[in-house]
Amino acid sequence: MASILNVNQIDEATSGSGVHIPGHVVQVKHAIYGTAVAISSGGYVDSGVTATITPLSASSKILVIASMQFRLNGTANIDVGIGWRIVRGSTNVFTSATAYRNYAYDASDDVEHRGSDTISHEDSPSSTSALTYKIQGIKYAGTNVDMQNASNQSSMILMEIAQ
Amino acid sequence: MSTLYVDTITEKTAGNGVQIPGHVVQVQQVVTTAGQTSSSQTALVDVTGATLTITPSSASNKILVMYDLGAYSNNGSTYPIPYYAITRGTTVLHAQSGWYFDARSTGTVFGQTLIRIGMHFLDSPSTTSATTYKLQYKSASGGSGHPTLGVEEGAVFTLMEIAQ
Repeated sequence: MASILNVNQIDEATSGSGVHIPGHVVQVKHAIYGTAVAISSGGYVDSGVTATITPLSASSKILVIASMQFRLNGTANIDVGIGWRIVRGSTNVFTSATAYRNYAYDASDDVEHRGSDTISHEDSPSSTSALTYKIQGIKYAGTNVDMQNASNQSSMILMEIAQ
Repeated sequence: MSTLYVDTITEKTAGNGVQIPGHVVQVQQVVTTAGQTSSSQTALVDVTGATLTITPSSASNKILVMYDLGAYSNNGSTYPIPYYAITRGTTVLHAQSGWYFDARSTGTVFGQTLIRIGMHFLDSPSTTSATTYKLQYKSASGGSGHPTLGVEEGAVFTLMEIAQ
């Protein structure tokens, strides 16, 4: 026979430990950022989208979901694209398959595309220390590649999932 | 560490929910599939079907608002000046506007553009009354005109109440 607990509120027994129910979201963090960042180099550049979470349990997983606004600008007959990386501290936990996950090209004319892209990753940090996640972008050729173009905003949420 | 073994936890008082700080206590979602466009849309208009009403079980709880939708413009000879907003009642909580999405080639706007866009926003409504959230859009002021704008391929609109 199933056991049923009828209760209006449950609080942690130990301060700071939270209440662990496997499969449940036990905390959510949110970040939003709206300052334009240009990617001028060929390497990964911080987007400015960053959030910190302190897992309540080392066994918990962290679900990272980010929506990143971007602009691609390229001259005629030049590819232009953008890819992403999710970084925890100094560890890369997700890297898009290519730097042209979003892409534009025209053989004879300059091109300019704007839009947003959603990336997600489930991380297993095995830690109860404060963890900082950030999104980095990398450009693929092109002339001008920006994140949060024209002060539009990118956002990220971190969800701790108890195991 | 204390461990409680139980199969199901349910609210003791009807409508109260089970409040556990940090936990998701309820989720609402609507998925639309219809396309919807309008020209010279200079006032905010509802994205049809993208309306959710949630009654927070505690005034201290937060509401995580998430959406993605197919942002569409049929530009003619003008640039799109899109404005996509999350609203609570008559309050605009968050908006993406201006040069948010477009597709051009040497200054010539593409005839039609459809790009999937998304955003997350954490709201603190401070109420236990039924609260309505909507997705809305308009053609913002400025730029070179107000081409046909709207939503194609539908929208996914989600609310999560997070206990505090």
